Amino acid sequence: MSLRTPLAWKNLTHDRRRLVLATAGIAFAVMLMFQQRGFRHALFDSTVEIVRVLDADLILFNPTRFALSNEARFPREAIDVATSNHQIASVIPLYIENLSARLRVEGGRARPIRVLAWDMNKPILLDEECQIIPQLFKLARPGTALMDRLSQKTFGFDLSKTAPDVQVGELANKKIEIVGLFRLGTDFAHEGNLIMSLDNFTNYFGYRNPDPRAIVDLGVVKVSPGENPQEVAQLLEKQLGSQVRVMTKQAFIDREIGFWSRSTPIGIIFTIGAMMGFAVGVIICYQILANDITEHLGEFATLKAMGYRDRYFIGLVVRQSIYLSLFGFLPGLIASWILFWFNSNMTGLLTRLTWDRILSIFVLTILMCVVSGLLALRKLMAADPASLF
Amino acid sequence: MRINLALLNILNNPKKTVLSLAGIGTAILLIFMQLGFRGAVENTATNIYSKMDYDILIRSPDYLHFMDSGKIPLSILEDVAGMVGIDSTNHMNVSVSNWRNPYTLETRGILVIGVDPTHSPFKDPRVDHDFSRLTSIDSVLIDQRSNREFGPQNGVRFSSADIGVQSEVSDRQIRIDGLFELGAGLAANGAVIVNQQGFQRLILTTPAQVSFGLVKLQAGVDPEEMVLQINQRLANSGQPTADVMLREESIQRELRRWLGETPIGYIFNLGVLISFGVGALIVYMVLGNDVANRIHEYATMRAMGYSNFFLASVVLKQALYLALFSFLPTLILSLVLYGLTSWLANIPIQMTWGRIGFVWLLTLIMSSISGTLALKKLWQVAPAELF
Repeated sequence: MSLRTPLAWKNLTHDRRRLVLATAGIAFAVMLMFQQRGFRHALFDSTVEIVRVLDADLILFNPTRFALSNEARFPREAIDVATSNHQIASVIPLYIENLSARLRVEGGRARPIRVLAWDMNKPILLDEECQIIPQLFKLARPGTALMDRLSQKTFGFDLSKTAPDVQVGELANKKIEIVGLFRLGTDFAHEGNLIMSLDNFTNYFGYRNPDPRAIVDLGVVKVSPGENPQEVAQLLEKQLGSQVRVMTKQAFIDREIGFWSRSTPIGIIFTIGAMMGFAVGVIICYQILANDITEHLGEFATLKAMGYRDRYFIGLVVRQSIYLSLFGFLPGLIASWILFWFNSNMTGLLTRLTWDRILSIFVLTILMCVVSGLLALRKLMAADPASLF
Repeated sequence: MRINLALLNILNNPKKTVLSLAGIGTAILLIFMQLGFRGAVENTATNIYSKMDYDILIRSPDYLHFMDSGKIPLSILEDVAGMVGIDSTNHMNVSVSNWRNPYTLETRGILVIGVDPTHSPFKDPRVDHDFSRLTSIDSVLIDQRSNREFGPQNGVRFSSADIGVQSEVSDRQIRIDGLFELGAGLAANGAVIVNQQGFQRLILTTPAQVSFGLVKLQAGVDPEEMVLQINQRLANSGQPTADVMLREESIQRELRRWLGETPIGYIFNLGVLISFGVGALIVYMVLGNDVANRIHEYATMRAMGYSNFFLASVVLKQALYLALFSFLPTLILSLVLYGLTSWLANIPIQMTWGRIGFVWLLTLIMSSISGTLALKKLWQVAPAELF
């Protein structure tokens, strides 16, 4: 006998129906874990998406702005001061308006939408898939804006692929033309997004007096080549005083996520949901593997009586668990991917299925299958072979 | 006496049964938690309305949700107050502003409520017991249910120890002069109550504009009829348009807004649906395995002449016993987890009889479906094949 019988494989595959059921079970557990964690990610991903797409090393903001949705601003002078440093390549002011930016179609109900504006001649975005940069040229005319196609449908605009080139509505009680659609996403504080040029912004939000440009929401900083952003941030903090805080882009993203995860009920609820999703995943896997091993206990006992060592059984169960988690993971992943896509269309929230998230669920799946298998094996280890019949 | 085979099957192997019960219990727990979260959102969204004292609400057509309410002219209320059938009118102002933690100096969004302290718009003494302390323009009462990040002296909850503490709202100096208990809701995590002058100072509004008009009716007046009359009166007197609605409708609309127009309702409904699927799957696995393990016994019974109906009833009864035995411990565990989540997330998660009934019903449906599916194995075997 040159080759050992691949017993783990045969145990799994000899009963097709059983295998399908076990695979479905694991796939379901995987989906549950993805889904529950996904809601939490959706909350965070959607909220920080606007920062993520900024081409920035550092962000300047008012320290009282505890979350992006809080409209605490800082004076533009800080931008000019920051720009004068040789360590800094550029500082572009970003203007954001939400509460007083009420948008509606004619005859519709006005609802607040987040309006983003900056000097269109300055590169502020890492575009990727947002489709913003190629459309910026459309915003030169007065009274125009681009609209996020993931905005809530309650605004009343046609945001589909077949939407007309120009749609007319009213923003802050003035006529506005939507001349293009992009893709950014909504979150729990914003129902949609508009992008407009700084000139237009000044026209619509004149209440930010005396000059709407004088009060800035975020400063988007690129440091000079070769400079360390961390060090430049410290320098700027010292220079700008208590009115403005400076953080690296990543630190700013982490701060925002920290606010939502720790300080809002919804973040805490999703964290609990994600933990429960994992616990239930483990229980389902345990049920499947423990049952499978119990089924074969008689056969194992025979092998044990024949002189096979404990090590052999451990190896067997570990292999069987890994096969099963591999079988279950892929359909689970595909189902989750479809569900995420569906969720995103239903809610406008973004959930990124990044490699590290996929990998972490994958590792968890294998881990819980192997642990469940080994737990189920204890019975065999402890037993005297004869008593198992 | 007939032997209760279903029960004996379950009790036969207690260790295995505990495992099965744990599996089903997990599914039930998952459903309870998702419904609990959804319920918490409902309670939180309508909490303030439920404590306000009114039969008919008048508010701006621009109203979006409680904290983004729009304004109506106070003159509307003066107009309505003179109508026949009206017992009294009152008004209230709300806005969201920034609160500064007096110790860390961090800011947080806070709900600011402006009231006339001598005429409380609330009907709950837990809210208005300290209204008499709103004596000066910089006095505030602080909600004891505010998040601990707002900076109570003991680090957990605002108490009498915080009275006299100075801090800032909207960058203006204020002083904590008293307490109340309300729970602000989903858009802010804390609340203060101030008097009308205090509200105008913090929020920079004119006294001629208010957020809500609260109308109380005399006994015996038909509220729906009154809504029509108020609408007519406002139309005739050339007042700007306002939304006039019954108490019940204001609460329903708020629910619709949070559950229908934000992703929250969708997420928790999907959560319940997935939990139900997971539960059905777990019960199916448990029962399917049990049937498979006992297939020899069932086949023997079948060969002895027991009817398919009898065998089916054994499996289904087993499913129901499992549901029954796992339900109570899970209910208790859910209550514990509700308490824990309420405490962590600072929002009320309460168990209701309706929810217990609903989940029990779901559990029965889930078990029956899974039991019926598990029976399939039974039909597939011819007795002779099994030996």
